[in-house]
Amino acid sequence: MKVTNELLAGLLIVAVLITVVGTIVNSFRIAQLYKSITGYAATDTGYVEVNVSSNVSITLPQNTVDFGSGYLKSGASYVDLQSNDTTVPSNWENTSIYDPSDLILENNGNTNVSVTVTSNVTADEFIGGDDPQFKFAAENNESNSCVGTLQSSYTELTTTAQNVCTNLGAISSANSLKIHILLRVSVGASTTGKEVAALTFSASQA
Amino acid sequence: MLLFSFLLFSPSLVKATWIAGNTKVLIDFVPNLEKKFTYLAGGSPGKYKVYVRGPLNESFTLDKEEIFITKEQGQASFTATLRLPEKIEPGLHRNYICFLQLQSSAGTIATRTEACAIVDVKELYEEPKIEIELKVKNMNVNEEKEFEIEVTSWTKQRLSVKGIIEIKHGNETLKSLKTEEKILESGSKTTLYALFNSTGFKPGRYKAKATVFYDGKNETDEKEFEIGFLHLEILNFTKEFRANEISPFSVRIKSYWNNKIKVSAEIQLKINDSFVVFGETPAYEIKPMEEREIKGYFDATGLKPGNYRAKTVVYYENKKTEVKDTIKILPEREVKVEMPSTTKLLVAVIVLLSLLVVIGIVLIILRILKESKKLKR
Repeated sequence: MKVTNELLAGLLIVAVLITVVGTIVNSFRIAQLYKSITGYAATDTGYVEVNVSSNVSITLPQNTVDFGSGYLKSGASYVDLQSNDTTVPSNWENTSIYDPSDLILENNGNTNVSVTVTSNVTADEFIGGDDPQFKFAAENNESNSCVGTLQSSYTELTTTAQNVCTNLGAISSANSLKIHILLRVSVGASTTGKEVAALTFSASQA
Repeated sequence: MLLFSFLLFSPSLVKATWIAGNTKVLIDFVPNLEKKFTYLAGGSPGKYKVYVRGPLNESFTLDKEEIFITKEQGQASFTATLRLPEKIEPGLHRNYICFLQLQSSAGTIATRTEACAIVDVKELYEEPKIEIELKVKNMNVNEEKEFEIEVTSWTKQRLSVKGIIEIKHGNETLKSLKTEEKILESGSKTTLYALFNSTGFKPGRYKAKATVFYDGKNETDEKEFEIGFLHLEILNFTKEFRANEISPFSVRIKSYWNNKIKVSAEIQLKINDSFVVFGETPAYEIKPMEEREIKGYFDATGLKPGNYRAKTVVYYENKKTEVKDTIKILPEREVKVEMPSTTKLLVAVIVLLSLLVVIGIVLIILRILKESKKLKR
């Protein structure tokens, strides 16, 4: 069968007409649907019951500080290793990579919290030597995170709970602290004592 | 030579720990009272210890003392039951019900977390006893503000309380304010008020010391506050721009005013002995005593490279603060004109469409010619 131009034009016009008429008819039918039984709500009032309980929650997104391995240089009386300073101290001979970083503590709950830290050992038990020090200090990682008393100066870690922040906020843009760790290795320091220290960060509602 | 290894090692499981429920409760002491507290707790997978610490820890019993949180489960519930004794010492007895992550891996120094709920038990004293908290507000010169002393009774007795608030600068007392006298019922709270007018006081930081008198005794509390004045200080601003460019600039300001204030800034350059505005910011709302940056745009069109005498002006409440300095206009940067990818795509589409149209027209012409040849035959 020979397909003429006239036939093609006719078929095209019919197709366009069917499309336009179909669209118009369906649009009208859809608009009428809410009058019959469908999922369309006849009224727009609903009741929602919510019971919001407080959630005390903390997390340590950065939970390691790596001072690596090393020793006190001969002639030096002590060396301070600080987690917020990546420069190798002059009195310290590191035998591995020296790249410490601070611990990061975050309040990821829905209420402001009071945070404390407790160590299971004292500096003397942990490092020993003439003048051992095992300390921490806290700093806002996001500004205005701690809206209470922040322990910003270095304080000895002991086996009793020490304040880190009395009121750490729960807003996601202001809920994070940096915890600096300081270790003083001095002459006579020994690794023969308790070699493991465990720091427990405790949170309760502020 | 001793070799130390200070790797603060923590296994990956040492992450979040949480406890949910009624995480801070205050109970008035009643002999032999029994109360149950149910909590939901969770965290990273691993073993957890449930325990109670505090002066009344022996009065609590737990239905679980150890919980293992799996990755699938993520949480568990436990119950703490408090049975109060016949008698306790007066005061606030704070007890913590804790969900502690148990460290299983060894390391030189390990970290772990715990989340605790608080159960406070309050027993009043037989003898008169109160606690106070002074609440002060920052203010401006020539303003009047109400200072408050919140008084809490810690006694079984009914008391009469009154206070004074001393305004101090250093150790010198500049003003003394008296509060009214109020009756404080046993175990309740009340607030004593005093009005402070800052007229005659210079702007700056002051100390307020509250003393509350009751039954021949007194309690004190101190707080600091600031008296502000309408002034904005320009701390810093952008001092380098590139010729023939519109670039952003910022001005760092400090407000000494203890109210919100609308602020805008300009950067003016000295051209032919007069200052001309080249940069402006929109109006910003600055919070009381706030220090912040405000941002705008600097139009260096037509400016030749070099150093210009300039001033930054900050406008607020019919006042202005200005700082004079030098602004450097840098030479124009070499610009490589590169067509954006969207423009490239658009051009390609237009070219393609044009080609199609041309091909179509050619085909139509060819067809017409063919038809006309047929007709001629």
